[in-house]
Amino acid sequence: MGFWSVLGTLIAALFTLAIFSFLYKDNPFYKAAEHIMIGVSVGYGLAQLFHLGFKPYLWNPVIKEAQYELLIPAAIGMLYFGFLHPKTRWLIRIPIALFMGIGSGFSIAPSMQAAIYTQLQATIIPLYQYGLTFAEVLSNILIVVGVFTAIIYFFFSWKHKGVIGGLAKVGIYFLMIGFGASFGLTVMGRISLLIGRVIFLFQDLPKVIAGIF
Amino acid sequence: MELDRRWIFLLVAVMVAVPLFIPSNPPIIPDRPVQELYNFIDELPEGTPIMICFDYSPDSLAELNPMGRALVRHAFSKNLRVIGLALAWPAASGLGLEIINTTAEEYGKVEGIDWAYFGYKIGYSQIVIGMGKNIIQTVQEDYKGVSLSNMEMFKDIKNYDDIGIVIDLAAGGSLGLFVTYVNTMYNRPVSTGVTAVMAADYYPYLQSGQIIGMLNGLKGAADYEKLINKKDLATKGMASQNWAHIMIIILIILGNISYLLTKKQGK
Repeated sequence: MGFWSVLGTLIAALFTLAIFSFLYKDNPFYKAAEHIMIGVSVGYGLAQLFHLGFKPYLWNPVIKEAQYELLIPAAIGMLYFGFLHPKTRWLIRIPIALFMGIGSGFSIAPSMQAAIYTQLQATIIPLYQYGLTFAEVLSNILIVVGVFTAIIYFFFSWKHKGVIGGLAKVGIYFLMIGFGASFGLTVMGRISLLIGRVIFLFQDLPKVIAGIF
Repeated sequence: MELDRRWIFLLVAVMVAVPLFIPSNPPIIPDRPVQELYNFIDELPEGTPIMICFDYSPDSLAELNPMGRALVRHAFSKNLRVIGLALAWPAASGLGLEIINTTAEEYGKVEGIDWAYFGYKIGYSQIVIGMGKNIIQTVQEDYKGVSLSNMEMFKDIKNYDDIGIVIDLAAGGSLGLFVTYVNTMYNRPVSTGVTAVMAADYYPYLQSGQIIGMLNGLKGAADYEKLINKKDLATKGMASQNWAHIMIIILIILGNISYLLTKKQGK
């Protein structure tokens, strides 16, 4: 392992411990690690944007290839800086409007297809059909009933009383089960992240330290 | 009863750390979505390129790096070609490269012929849409600035039609973009490996058939490691995951009992 890799691993270990120290109580080591992390992230992101965005898409084409027409979108983009002064703040509407228009044009039709039509289609399924297993039938029923009752719950044009109220209540139970699953997965995810750090601290780091000596 | 929550933090740390030092072999039974993705990749003809998008930052690497490594190992072991890129997070650029580079060395694969890495590309949806028409024109260069048109790998790759499957390793909402454009607009197969936090949001795509299989958190990575018969970090972490979950379940039960007793005493 090279010098910079060893140094990087040691710094990573120190910062991991500094962040974990917050679990005991807030302290200057945690604060320093937090601020350095934010600074490094922003700095790294800006450098990447400069080298991978500004240079190849604007600077090089304009300076080296004389593609001056690119200065027009660049000037429109610069209007975002109008936000810095109250009198010029209105100017940011122009790039935002353009961005929204182009973005909407590109995404509305496929998004409708992907997020609504296909999803709706996936709920139009047979509750029972010859050849389906018990689990598949149960799954299909749960999907149809779950979608139907959850939509009823979010239907506010009628009062949630009587049959509508009953269906909305079933919808709430489905939503609660969904939130429960989501929360369970969140816990699983957080534990996984801790496992990653613990493996790093107790198994990877000792190997690096052993390598130094 | 008041309990200093730092005791719980300590308990979680112990439950996660101790199993790592005790040799154990917890049973790993791959979930159906993991098996589906494995089967799909396994059945791709030799030489087919697959595209993996590393859409996560270092804070999610514990879950997504093992997935990426297992997928790349599977691809190289089947002599598939691998194209990697990062679209959502600038910091992902190095993560994806490290995975593909080291795994390529493991399998003796050559850059530019068996694999290519674009690095972080600015433009996000424009890049995803553009690659559906022409990958070389859209991306132009790899992470080292080498023109794709000079690479042997891209002589027979024009757009998604030439890619076996596009897999998004996502720590955020990037999968929606791939489903919307790659699957819906270009009608090409898409799959994903996601952090456990995001998984619940993506099950509807799985049920509707818009994605082929899904790797869910560290468990999904461990499942895939089991399927390719290459135990690594995710498998190593499964014992800790099990014990931590058992402890959390016990704590939830104790917390509820304590709450009910306190409520009863209050009455």
